[in-house]
Amino acid sequence: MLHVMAHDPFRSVPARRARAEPPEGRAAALPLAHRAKGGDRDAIAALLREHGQAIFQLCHHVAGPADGRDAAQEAFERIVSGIGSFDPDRGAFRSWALTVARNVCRDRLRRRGLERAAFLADGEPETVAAPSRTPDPERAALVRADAETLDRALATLPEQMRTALVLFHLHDTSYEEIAAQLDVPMGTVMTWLHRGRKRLRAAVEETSPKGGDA
Amino acid sequence: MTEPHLTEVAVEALAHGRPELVDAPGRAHVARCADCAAAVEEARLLSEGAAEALRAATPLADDLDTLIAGAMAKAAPAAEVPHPSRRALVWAALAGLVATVGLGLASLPSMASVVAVVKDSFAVLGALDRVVDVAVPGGWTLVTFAGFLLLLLLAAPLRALVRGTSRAPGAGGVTTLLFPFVLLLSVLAAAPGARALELEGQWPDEERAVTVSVDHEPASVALRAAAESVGLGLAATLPEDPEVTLHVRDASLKDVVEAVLGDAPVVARRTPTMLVIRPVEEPAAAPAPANGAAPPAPPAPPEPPAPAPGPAADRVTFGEDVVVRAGERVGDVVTMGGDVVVEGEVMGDVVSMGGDVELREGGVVHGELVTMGGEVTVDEGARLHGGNVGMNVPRFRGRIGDRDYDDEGHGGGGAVGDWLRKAVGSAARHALLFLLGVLLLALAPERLGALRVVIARSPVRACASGLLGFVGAVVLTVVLVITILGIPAAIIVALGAFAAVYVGLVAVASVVGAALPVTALRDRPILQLAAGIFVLYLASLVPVIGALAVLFASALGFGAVLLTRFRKNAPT
Repeated sequence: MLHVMAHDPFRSVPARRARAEPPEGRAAALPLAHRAKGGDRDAIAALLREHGQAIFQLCHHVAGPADGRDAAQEAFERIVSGIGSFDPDRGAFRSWALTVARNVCRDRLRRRGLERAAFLADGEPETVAAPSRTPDPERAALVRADAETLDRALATLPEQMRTALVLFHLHDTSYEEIAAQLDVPMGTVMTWLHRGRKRLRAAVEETSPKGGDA
Repeated sequence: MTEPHLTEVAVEALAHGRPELVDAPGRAHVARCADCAAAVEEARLLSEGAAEALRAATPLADDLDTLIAGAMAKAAPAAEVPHPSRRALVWAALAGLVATVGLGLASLPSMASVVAVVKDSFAVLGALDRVVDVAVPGGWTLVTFAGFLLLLLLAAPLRALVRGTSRAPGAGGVTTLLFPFVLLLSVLAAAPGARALELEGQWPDEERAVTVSVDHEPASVALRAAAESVGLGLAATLPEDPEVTLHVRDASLKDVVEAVLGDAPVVARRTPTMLVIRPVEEPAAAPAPANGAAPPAPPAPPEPPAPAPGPAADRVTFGEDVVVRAGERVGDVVTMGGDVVVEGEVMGDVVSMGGDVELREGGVVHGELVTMGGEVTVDEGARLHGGNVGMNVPRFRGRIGDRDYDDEGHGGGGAVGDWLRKAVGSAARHALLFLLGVLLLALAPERLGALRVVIARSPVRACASGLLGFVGAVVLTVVLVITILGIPAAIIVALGAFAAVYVGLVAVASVVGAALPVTALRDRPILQLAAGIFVLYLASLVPVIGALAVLFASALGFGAVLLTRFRKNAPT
């Protein structure tokens, strides 16, 4: 009990709340987005340069390292060719572009026969059991993993879970925004994230050549 | 009773600073439960670790600019098509119009040819009208609705094709799918009987004074007896006069008329003094004399009132021949893809699509002879009371061949004259193409640009798509026409394909013009278009290669239209 009292349950990693305004200011991006939608090539290129790394990273992790670059290239092309269907009044360019990129990755995975069906039921979330280990090794196992190990571990996760993890941890996307992008309830996103990290850790331990060695 | 532990969602929320997503009991619980507090802490650390590991393992694209440049070059909106000024467009349109009209007039064939074209057009429409009238119960009403329904049914897969996605059928999808069927059922239910007895005038139900007894007598005789029994005269013009046997006592005249005439295509009108029977198709025929005199004779009864072998039914066949033998009497004869031989009597029309018609000695056709794509032979001693509207095969084919630059010469003038006429006619068509191009430049420059991108980027793919599209359009059109109900959809498909070919040709010409190594054409889309069309025109004049070039250009353009679906952006 002392431990519990000493621990502030609300102390946590920096909160990612639903953002009323995307980073860098939505208002500033609006004119550019509108110009891009109108076919302004300079505006399209500027938006791609601004969000290109995020698109590339998503493709890298969702389509896989081997196919990530090609997927990103295809995603850029689809974004450019489909800019007419982007509605700046309905959402940020970044969200729309990441959705396009994710669809590209899914198509490529499907062609490769690697897509997995929706992973978890959206129903009753499980209650947590007592932690099996002390916290530090949990973090350490992941941090120690090299890029190749992490890529292999990520590849074992279902595509939606992988996407949720990348959006949350790499792109600082909120639960609400991920739910909107993936078109699933927010609770499902939170469950995917919670379980995804655990599965990622387990997969890292399994695929790591050194196992769980410290 | 023990408290339930936190759910995964609650742990996730608390570990990431979102306590507002956890209900109050949950928040209170975590302050009391060491296990749950530890789980939150574990999740927090795991999350930190995952974020750190992902960031460390995620590369940055070192060639982002290259990727972006590649995408822009490949899929950027067709902003490369410079927009001509409004003034330039107006002048170009005027020039195109003048050239089209002038060259068109110069290449106009003789007046007789124009009349033949108009006449043949009416023949086609007349033949279609007769086929629909005879072969389709609801006539054009049903055909129109069926065509509409076919388009609706085609819309869903086409939409999916265009979007490249398929959606799980929800309630809206079910409604969309059911709607055409409900509409079809309602149309079928509402479609009136194509040919039914119509009653006009006063027909009192309480009148029960008709007593008739006839055996194997023509219907007109039975009707006369019935009319006489209630003190009425009879004026009857029956297209068919089958034998009937009628024994009734104290029946109403209405019941008797309905029993005798059934679904015959006639109107029965009762006046205070007469019973008038006349065909539905001829509302003005047989004006009844006011004094109730003897009924007038039918308009053209060539045969004596010899007993007919049976009721005059229609003959409708698809792909089979029809032979009306001597002594045989039929209503209308309609064939698609079959020949017709008439030795007996046809009370109605003979309509033949794609087959020959032979009217042999002794054969009689009271209606019209409508043929399309077949030959007509009328022997001496045969009688054709209606008109003969026809198109024979060579002439029909010759006209279609116009587009392929191999039309038959009209009006003489020798080989040079023929060649000149062809060249001028071809120039008129290309001027029309230029006019269409100017229109596209003015109204849909982005779409034209997307077509140019596809043509320049993937000519082989576009050409193959175009050739496949040709085959598909022809097959689809033929299939729809054969079903008859699909004729409206077939017309739309054919017209759509035709328009797509011409739009595609404009894009091809535009690309050809842009590719010419002429500095004066740079950034001048109208001039590029004109130059490209001129090149196509010159190519079309070369005997064999020209036809191939036109075919290649048409396939290329048509394929580009199919690949872009005439949208603003070229596909990736």
